[in-house]
Amino acid sequence: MKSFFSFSPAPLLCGLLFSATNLASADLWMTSLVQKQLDGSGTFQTYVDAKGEGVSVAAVPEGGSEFFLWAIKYADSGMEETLVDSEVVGAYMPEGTLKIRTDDPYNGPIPRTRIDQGFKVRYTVDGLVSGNDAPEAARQVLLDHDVAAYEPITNEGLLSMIGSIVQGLFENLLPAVDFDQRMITKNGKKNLKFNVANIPGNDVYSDAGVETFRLYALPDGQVAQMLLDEAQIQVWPMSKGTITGLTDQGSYSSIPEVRVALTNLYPDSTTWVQVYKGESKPGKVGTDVTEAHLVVDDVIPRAVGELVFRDLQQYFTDEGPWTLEVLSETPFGTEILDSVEINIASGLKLRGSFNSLSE
Amino acid sequence: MNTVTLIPQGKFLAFSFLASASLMSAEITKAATGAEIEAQRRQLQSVYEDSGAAQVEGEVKIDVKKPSLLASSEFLVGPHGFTLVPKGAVIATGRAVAVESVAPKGAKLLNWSDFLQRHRGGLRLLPVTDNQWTGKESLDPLLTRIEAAEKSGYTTLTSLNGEPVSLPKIQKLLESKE
Repeated sequence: MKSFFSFSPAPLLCGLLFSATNLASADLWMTSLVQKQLDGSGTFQTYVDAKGEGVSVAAVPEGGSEFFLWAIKYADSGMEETLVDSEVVGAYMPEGTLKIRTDDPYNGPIPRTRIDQGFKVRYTVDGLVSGNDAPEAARQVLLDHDVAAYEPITNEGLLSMIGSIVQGLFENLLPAVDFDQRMITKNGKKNLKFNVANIPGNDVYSDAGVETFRLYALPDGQVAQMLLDEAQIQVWPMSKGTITGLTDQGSYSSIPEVRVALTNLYPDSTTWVQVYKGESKPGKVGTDVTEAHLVVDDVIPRAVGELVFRDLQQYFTDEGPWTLEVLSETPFGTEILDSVEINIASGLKLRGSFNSLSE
Repeated sequence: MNTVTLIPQGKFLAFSFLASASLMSAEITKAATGAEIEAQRRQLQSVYEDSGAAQVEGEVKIDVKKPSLLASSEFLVGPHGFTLVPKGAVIATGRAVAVESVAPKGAKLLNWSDFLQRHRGGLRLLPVTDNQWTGKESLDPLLTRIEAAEKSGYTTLTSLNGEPVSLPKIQKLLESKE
């Protein structure tokens, strides 16, 4: 849903292209275009089709106008409103846009990443003028960055998130905290490259939240502070896999029950367990011992519980060093969540085998 | 490979089919540790310094109110439905069409054009020109027509090109003549 406004040097009329076609049950909604003078001297309102193009019915004065595209509906619970888009048009207004990119190709309402993964914020600013004679609001715009953490992600926390998605975000965010504010004084494009996310916390296996970047035009006389653009990114915690039942560097003549505890498997990830002969060597392809790979087909991380392996002997066919690894493939690559090296002593006996999945 | 797919609500759906176990991805690395991530976080401030954007002295207060169409509108209510107009667009209230601050219950929401057509007998429009809208012309010439509208018994709105428009200066004009 995007509306585009072209601005002419003689700001009498303004071409508008608007679209609110992603509304569910579009026939229940009405769309209204509101034009407000930036100096507060007037408000104009018209009803429009859900998708269309036209020249604005009301002129854009020199001081500029802000346009709002609203969708409204009268439901049993009362009136509902949704701001589809907004745009500021003016002769001397700075312009600014924000765009966030991550290595996760997820195409949801807002981009997402993981606490240990970086992301890029591109800001584009135009319309700034230089020179001390120009008003402050014409010489610079404000870039505001704040962060909001989710309450620590636990199994119960994840379950409570189901069904409470609002435009891609979950409602149990703690209050946002200022992270940084900068004044941008030059027109052009710039990238901010963060190598890791900025969500506050003490545990990368449960820290999660939302980072928000906003560009503001500064107030100028009768014209209030204006939001030029906003971009958000959702940050999820790291996945955790913990092997128990085998001691690292331990020696075994028979393999006991092995458990693998898994938490916060990333959306669109696949997780499995493998063994191979020899010492730990990242990248080595081993034998897959997982009867069923765990594929997370959801928009939030999943807490799985435990995989239980009651008889792994069939895979340890020789004496000597062996490695058991927990692997997880995500949009960021394949990682070893945990590994254990053991030594198989003589006297290992083969028995019948099965493994099971428990929650 | 056999695959268990995790779907919402935590239900597990198991598929079993025969396939050779093979790993697809090229490079496998060890997951980062908390200490490694903390070390990278300590370098985060340099991201802004390297961008050239100037640090703000103190803090710039953000004072942008969340917009609301409903909060900035009035509701015209008639026997055939209701519609929304900008607050301050109504300059006189008549008998056939009421002005409310909240949506009436059980009534039908109409767009402006349909509402105007169905309640034409109880509505009047006071047009303003483009120049009056952009502030290039005075609103004083409207004063006589505003006084007439107040006595007409019709609900009267200021309009621009047939659409409702709110001009706070008209309210000030009315206040100044009292």
